Amino acid sequence: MRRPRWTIGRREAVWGFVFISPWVLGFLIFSLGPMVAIIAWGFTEYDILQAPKFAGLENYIEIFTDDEKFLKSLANTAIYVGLLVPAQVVIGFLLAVLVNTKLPLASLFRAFYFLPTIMPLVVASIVWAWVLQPELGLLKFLLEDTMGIPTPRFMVDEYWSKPGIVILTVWSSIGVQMILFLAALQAVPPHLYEAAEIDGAGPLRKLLHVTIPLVSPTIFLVIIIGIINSFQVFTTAFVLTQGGPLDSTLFYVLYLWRKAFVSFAFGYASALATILFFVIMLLTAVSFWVSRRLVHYEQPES
Amino acid sequence: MIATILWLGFVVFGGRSIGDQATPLGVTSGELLWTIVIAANWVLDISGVAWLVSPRIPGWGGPRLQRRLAAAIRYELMIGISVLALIPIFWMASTSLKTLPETYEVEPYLLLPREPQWGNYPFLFTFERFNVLQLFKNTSLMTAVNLVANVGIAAFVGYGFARLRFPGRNLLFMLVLSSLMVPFIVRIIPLFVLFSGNTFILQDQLGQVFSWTIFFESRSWAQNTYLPLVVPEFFGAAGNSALYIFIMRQYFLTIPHELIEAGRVDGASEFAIWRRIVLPQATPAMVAVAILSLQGSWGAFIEPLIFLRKVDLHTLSIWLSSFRSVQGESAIQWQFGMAGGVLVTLPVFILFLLFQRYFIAGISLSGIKG
Repeated sequence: MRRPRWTIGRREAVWGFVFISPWVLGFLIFSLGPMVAIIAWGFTEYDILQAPKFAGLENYIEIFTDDEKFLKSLANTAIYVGLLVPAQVVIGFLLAVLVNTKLPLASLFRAFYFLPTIMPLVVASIVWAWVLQPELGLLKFLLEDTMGIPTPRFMVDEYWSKPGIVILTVWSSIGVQMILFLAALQAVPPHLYEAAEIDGAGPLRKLLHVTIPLVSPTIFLVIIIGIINSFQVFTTAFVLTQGGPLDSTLFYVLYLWRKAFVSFAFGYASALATILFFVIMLLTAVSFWVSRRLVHYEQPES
Repeated sequence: MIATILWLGFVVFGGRSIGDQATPLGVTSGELLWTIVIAANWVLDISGVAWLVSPRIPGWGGPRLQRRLAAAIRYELMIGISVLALIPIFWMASTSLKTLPETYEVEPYLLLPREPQWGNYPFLFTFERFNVLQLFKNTSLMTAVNLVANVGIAAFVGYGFARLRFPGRNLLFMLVLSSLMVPFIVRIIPLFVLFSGNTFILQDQLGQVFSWTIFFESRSWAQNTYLPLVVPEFFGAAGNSALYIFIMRQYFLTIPHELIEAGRVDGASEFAIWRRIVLPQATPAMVAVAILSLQGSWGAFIEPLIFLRKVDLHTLSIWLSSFRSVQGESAIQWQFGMAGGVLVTLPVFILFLLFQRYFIAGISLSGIKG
């Protein structure tokens, strides 16, 4: 006996909803709900001990007109992202090119470069706090005491604290970018290089006209993930510098965390979180818009 | 690059005295030699990068010679960068075996302890402020529960998105991916309020009957419970859940259609198909998700920091951060901080060595392709 076709389809759809239902619930309770709550609390004064009091635009007015640390932390974060993301893209790509080979032991080196990524970020931060320590650190010893290269005092100097955290973050995250670029490089069809060679293209030409266009979706991916993640930098700054020196590593989320969980100004913190969310969304949207013009997507061969 | 490292090695271990004759340039012959070698090495390295893109220069040398030279440059760079990548790890291990005075010695600088202080490790377990054994238990338990939750939910939800057709599927899946964009702090603040026992909004509107506080031990704010660290994972709503769902979905897409159809023809329910036909095929992806989840929970920092405010509920990462943040700069006992770092890192390193393939697969699978 054959059942009518639409029943099978409906049965499948019902099962589909059953399968995704845990996620739907989770999305409503733990993502959408919180977002609505955060946006709503942004218009209130809320110290968590008493019910939130409606305060209109007060929080936002204070943030934009009377909060130096807001601007400072936003600028700090922007500088940090601007230093970190390009470094991740360039170094990750070069590393991937380097280990993209079938030579013996290459996989061992890949594993070496990946080890720092395995390390919990708190451990990496502690280790680098020790390596970058201004008087006793290994870096100062190797660069300054042995080679005579003056070494910036990374954790203490207002201008070098951000680069210090960038170095730590590149070290501890580069494995991921390397793997992503490696997968992209290995997906480049060899016949394209052969064709380019026949046309007389040298190494640089091949890099610019074959490799980079074909891995551009991955470049875009690394940039997007990098922006979203590094805009929320917290752990490294919390462990390494606690926002200092002179608030030079007071990043946005660190500032927000202090407002929420040290001063218990949840309304104010919610307003800050709302701004953060829209900044990240805006940056992502801009990246997508730019990528449409720059990223090359391979058409599947039919 | 290697020349630089070798030279550093010589200097550090006191071998600077090769070639002490003065030269007209005002430096000793040894220094001059080293300078030339290091400079030549770097020139080779930098030009080697161009080679690596395509190791062929037409009309020069034989193809075999070129291949060998390219391989040599590649090895040179790979070894040099390995040293850069591994030095901090070595430094952590080395410091963890030093005595306190040794960590403060500068003249001469000690790369290795004079005598390894293995006693540093047992000493960690005698600290009064933190019961490290308890911390290990807490962290392992949280990691284990999250692992089960993440793998189970990602496999379940991922299958729905991969192989079952229902209206709005693509739109909902876009929503899954876009939830990666929601900052973690946006999720955490309401979660904190929700679990703090002072959810006045809910109480005011729904009355005491539905008050969230009935679920928790006491009514004081900042409840100390692992629930906010664990519950969202069971709903695929934690920080990385979307990534795990994505990984599983991508994997399920590769499972042959015929297998699932065969199950349907046999009259199996979709749940039975998932459980008996699809899941056994998906072990590699599940292992990848398991390892990523394990690594994430084991090293989680901000959530424990916010939700667990009692010392005996802390996790290992909170304990480690206290080596840096609680004490003043001068009081830091680096050897214990580093020993703690080794203890916390070792389990994930061992895991990585055992499951390296899955680790890498997980990372490259989560590389979302447009």
